[in-house]
Amino acid sequence: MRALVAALLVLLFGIADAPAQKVAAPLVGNGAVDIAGTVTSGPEGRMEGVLVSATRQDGALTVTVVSDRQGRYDFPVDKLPPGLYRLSVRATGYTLDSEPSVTVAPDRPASADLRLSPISDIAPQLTNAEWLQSIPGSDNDKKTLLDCMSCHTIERIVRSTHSADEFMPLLTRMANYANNSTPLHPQLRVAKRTPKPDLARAAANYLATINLSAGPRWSYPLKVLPRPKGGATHVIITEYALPRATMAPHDLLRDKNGIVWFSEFGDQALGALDPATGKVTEYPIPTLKPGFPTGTLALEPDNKGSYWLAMMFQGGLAKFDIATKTFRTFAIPAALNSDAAQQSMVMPRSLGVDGKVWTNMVNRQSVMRLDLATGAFELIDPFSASPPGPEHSPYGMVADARNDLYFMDFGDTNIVRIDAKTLAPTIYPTPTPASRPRRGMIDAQGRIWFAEFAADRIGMFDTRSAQFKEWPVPTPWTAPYDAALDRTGKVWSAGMASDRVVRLDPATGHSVEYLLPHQTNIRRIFIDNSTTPPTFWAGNNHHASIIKLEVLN
Amino acid sequence: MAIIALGASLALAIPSPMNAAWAGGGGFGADDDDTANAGPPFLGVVQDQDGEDVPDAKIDVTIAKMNSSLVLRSDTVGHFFVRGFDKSVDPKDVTITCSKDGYADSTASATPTVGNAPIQVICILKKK
Repeated sequence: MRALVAALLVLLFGIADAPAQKVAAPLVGNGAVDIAGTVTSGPEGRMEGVLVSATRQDGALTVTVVSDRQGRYDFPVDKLPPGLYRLSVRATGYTLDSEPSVTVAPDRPASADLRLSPISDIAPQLTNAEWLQSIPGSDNDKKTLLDCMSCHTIERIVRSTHSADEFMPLLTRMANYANNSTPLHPQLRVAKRTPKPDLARAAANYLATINLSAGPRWSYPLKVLPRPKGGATHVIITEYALPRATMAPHDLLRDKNGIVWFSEFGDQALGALDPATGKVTEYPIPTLKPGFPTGTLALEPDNKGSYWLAMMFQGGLAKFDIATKTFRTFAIPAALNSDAAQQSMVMPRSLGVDGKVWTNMVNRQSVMRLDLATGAFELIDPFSASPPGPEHSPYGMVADARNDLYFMDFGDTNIVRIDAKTLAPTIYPTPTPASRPRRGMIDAQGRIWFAEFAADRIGMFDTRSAQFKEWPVPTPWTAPYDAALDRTGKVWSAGMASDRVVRLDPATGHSVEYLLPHQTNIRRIFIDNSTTPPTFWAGNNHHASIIKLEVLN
Repeated sequence: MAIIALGASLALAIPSPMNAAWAGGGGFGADDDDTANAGPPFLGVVQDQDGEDVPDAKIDVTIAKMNSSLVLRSDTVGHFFVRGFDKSVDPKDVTITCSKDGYADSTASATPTVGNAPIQVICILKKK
């Protein structure tokens, strides 16, 4: 059957196994691998930590492994369905002169030794984190750029040639794109925004010092993060391409049947990927506000297994019934439903306690709560008694067993508890200032694990003792978006900047960083605890794919 | 374990927090100004009794009054760096503990600094 599929691919695409590099005759015998070989270069000889990716001819599936200390790589058997694959690599500073094609067929392991050549222009290969490390300026200057990554890369900024004056109208234009925009799918806000002139001027002046406005080359050296080594090479990454380039998976979860459900940040649909077949099904979400930006952000299950979505600029929440595959929507009250109204978060997990679902009101820096029985929303301002100054922003949300809400104050530096009965807020600042806590989860012991986006730290807040604990992530400017504890006690994190997935052992402070095969913009992460070891899943928000990361050994 | 004791009081210039450009994030010049809100960082090294740097030692930084702690590891040459905690944290209340398999007692001592200069920390591990 596999041979038949391979033959069909040749017939369909007219492409046979025509290696451009040295591809040895298929190995016969051990059957343990589908493709194996070595990675070498002139400067280094055998190379450790080179990511080798095999992309199926139809582009729908890419599997990546990492070369070991001896420069060897191998794709374990059964990770690659039969077919024709193109090999590519990620090793900053190097290129694969031509990308060989390899046929995977049953019991016919293939060998492909890869010879890399050094390149002089490494700029296209840098991650956002490497750019943030390379550019001059104070940490506070650079933090100006962190929110840019929501829509596009830092490379896009540093390659521009705008002067400071030219940046001024550009910043106003950027401010008027919705959060759920990408260069491929820009969406304008309906409510106009005008940056404060002094802040925009400071940002414009700074941006003109890091881009190419002064000449054709950057005035600063480009810093490169080290390649993976040791345990960081013991990983296999599977990437499932989504059918449209504009699909922007944001939150995701995997159900008991193995289906990966994901919110689409730019489109009015709930996506479902079957990793076994690669099939993607989209369930259209009703539009509440025609003419407003489309797309949803938070995706959370409730106590009965229905999925809830925060509808962003559509102004409300959507509930998806798994059995009937239908949506019920809850528009926020007309009095609050201004052109700027925005719901990015939803927390229905403890709905069974009191019939209430938490959400946020981004444009009012407030929290809302939906009473499912009546459809009524309450508006709660947790910061009404706080001193003026900081820009608060209720963001990542978890609910405890009493349906008390804990949210991450992404605009500032707090974990905030809202008592479900009294609606009284209690504000707990993180030990690290200006940490901008973003997303996270609560475990069975009542500990909230969360990402400190602007502090490059993973945080834990014990709701029972009000104790904080923090751990730095290894790479500066990782800007972690989310954090999750797995059943073995490891904490996972990832974000938009470093193209790396972090696995932290909180007991020892040890972290392993797994490099991903190309630019990867990660938001919500999901840990599948049903596998051994647990499996990491995330969407690639800017590159229309779903990623699975499995640690080997 | 040793408690860092610092005699110097810290004087910080705290500018008024800026208002962000607009609600909802995504702003240029959001008010997350580290230097305004942070106390001094800690710059440390872990060594054995012979003065050799000890890489990959576990560092526990505890602020008892805040019911908070930070865990990290020394780097490949035994160094570690802890960015400043909130300005309300008195460095005298910070405890730094170092540990590693094969070593017994851990000791941390700190050199007082003025202003927001990094606090120098040396942690000596004794082989068992």
